[in-house]
Amino acid sequence: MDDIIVVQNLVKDYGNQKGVFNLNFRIKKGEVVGFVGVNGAGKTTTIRNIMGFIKPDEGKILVKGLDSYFDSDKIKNYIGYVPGEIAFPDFKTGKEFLLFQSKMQGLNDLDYANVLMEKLQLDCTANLKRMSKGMKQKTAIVAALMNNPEILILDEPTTGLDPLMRLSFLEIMEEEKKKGKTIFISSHLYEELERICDRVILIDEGKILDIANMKLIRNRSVQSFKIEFNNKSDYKKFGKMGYEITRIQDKFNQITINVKKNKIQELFNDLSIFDVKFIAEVNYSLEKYFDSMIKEDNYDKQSFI
Amino acid sequence: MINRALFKQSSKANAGIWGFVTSISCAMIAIVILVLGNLNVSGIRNSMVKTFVKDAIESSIQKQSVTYFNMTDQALITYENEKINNADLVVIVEGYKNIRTSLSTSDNHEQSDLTARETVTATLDNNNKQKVYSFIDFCLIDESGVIDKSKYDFDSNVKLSLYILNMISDSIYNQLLEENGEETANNAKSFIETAINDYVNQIDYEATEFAANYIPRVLKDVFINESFDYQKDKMRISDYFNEAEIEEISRSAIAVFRAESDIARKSFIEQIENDNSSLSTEEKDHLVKTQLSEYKETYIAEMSGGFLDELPEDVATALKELGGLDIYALVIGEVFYRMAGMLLPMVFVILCANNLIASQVDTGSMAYILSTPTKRKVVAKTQMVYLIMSVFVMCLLTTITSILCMSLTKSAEVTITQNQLLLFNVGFFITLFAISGICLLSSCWFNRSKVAIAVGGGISIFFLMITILGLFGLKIIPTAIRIDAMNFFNHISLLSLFDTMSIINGATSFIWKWGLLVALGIITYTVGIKKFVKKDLPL
Repeated sequence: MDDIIVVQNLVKDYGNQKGVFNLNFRIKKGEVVGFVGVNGAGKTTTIRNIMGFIKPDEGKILVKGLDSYFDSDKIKNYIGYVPGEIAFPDFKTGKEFLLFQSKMQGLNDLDYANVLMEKLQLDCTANLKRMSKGMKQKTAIVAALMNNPEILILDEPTTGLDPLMRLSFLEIMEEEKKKGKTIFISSHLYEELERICDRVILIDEGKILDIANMKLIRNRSVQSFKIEFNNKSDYKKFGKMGYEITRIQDKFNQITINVKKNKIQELFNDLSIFDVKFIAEVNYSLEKYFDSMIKEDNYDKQSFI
Repeated sequence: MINRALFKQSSKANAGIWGFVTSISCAMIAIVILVLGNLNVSGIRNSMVKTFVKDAIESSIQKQSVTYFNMTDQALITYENEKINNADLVVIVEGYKNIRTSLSTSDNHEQSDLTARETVTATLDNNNKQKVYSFIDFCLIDESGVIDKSKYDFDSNVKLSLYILNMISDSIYNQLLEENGEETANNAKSFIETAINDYVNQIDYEATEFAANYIPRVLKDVFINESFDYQKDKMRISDYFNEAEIEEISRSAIAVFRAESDIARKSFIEQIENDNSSLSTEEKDHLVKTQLSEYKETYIAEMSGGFLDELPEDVATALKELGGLDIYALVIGEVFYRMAGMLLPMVFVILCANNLIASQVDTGSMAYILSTPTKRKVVAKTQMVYLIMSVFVMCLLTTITSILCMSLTKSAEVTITQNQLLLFNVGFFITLFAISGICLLSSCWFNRSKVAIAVGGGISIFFLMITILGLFGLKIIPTAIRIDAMNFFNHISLLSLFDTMSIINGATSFIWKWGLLVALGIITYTVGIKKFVKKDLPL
């Protein structure tokens, strides 16, 4: 029973290639899983299925062993949810809303909510309807976290937050992660996922393209460097030295190479004889990783046509 | 089964519009009842009715006076004629009496009676013999109504008068029995008997003159105590006329009748003289008499029943209905409870039903409620209970307001009872219950708020609009301004199941119609909740 969320053969077909098609993944207890994809890729559909708001056409989702559609009320005992769209019920102030939500959750006090609000610098006495998008988002985050749920499901939670607030949010997520919470977070911002996620699921057109293990991405054995030479002869000479070349920009005499971490000293030795204009490490990020995945995918598709 | 926090939330969120609609509705019903109840709104209508009733009573007095006068006149003339025609009967019976006296030595009355009868009728034919026999029988009848042949010392003149009187009253009785029933026939019989007796006991007037004086005097005593049926109500004649007036109406009607008859008689004589000069005087007389009596009958039959009877029938009906228009039933029962007063609560129901489900699904705020451990069924039921309760309390307040206001009205013209008013309010709630069911179903069915409002609200407002159009086709509207074709709308309007007319008329058909409304409410609520529980929510 390590798997908190199990998605099995999930199909929800809206026609027109919209929806999700045969989705399979598992989320372990204490794991933080990111969920990325372009708009319309099926992120929200998946999350709605997990929340039990819609009925799967095929397959099922188990949350702590409970069917997410048929026992949708029971699974909510463990889930804190931040919806993708921020629209609150008809309340005057944020405080009224949070009080209502806490009652609905069976909570007796707002102690933890107050801690969260302080951290997010949220003034919850403000008029709910006149709140800025960021304030609304913060309120939604507080509402989802305040009863300390085991599982957090967040649908693009940082939309509308300024960079500073985004940072506070990520801190909160890291704290929650430390408490052993299972977090499923969808976003189209790779950096924030990179920072907190254990795994990131890439979804496109309703299908999982890849599941990236962040440990492997963070602890890659190779590093990439971009090197520009001052003259063409050096550039060409270096090109023939047998390094793994990933990119060549002839116009600027630039070469991008992958080097194993233990071979970096060797590289610098080799470079000492050349007239190097600059050398820069190229950060290998999740974005790069997935960009290459999507490109390959598109390329494959094109080659089939 | 319901979620208290959510119920409270729904109450708070809709409190503003609820309070607004409730207070306006209460103010409206208060104004309607107080204005109608304390001002003399039906003054014109009442004076119209009074005029119609007075006119109808007058016509009735005139007609009956002439009828009775004609009957009495005929009877008295017949009486006089019969007396002359049967004068020989007195002579014969006097002969019979003399023979009985000469035979009085014998104790055998049976024998002496038979001998006397046979002697006096020896020269007569069978027909006349029969006549004489039956008259002798009549003369021998004693006080107890049995023929007693030992008592032959009667006054044959008096007996003849009585005999003719009986003949006439019997023939009137028989005439009337067939057409007008036993009571009328008996009344006419005793009336004529009294009239002839009174006539016999005076010497001042000849028959027709006597009748013309006698009838108004008698009828005024009769009419002053009678009531007159006008539509559904009984009007006391004494409220409209005093005895002197009745007598005067009667007298002048008879005078006119006599004058008209006289003119007619003269023209008949002239005409017959011209056309049938070859006839004998007797034949001419007979012809005039026949024509005159026909003329009189037609005259009486054609006598006007009053102003309304002289108008074309549909115009008369229209005027009568206008006079009989029940303004309270129309304005309170129909216009307020089914139309004007229904609009705002209906708008509340439409908006509130939408706020409770569809709007929250559309904006996505329902996600917060459903991200807590709350069953969808509980959410839907809570919203249903709130909607019903809010409408119920609203109706409760209009009920209290209307009943309070009704008890403040002093006018005797208010035709609606407190019970009927209470039933109006109950019907008001039941109708809104059904409407709220339709609106909540629509709210549960559609994910888009505007579609939910358009469908649920559209259906509700449609029913209200066609009810307003249907008003012009309602039976309660006088024919003068009624458009029967408009009644079509009432056949297809849901609001017709709130049958205020049935409540006013004291019928019970409104009850099963309420049953249908309640059933519709229950069905729409049930289907709505089922739909909300099962459907995919875009949250």
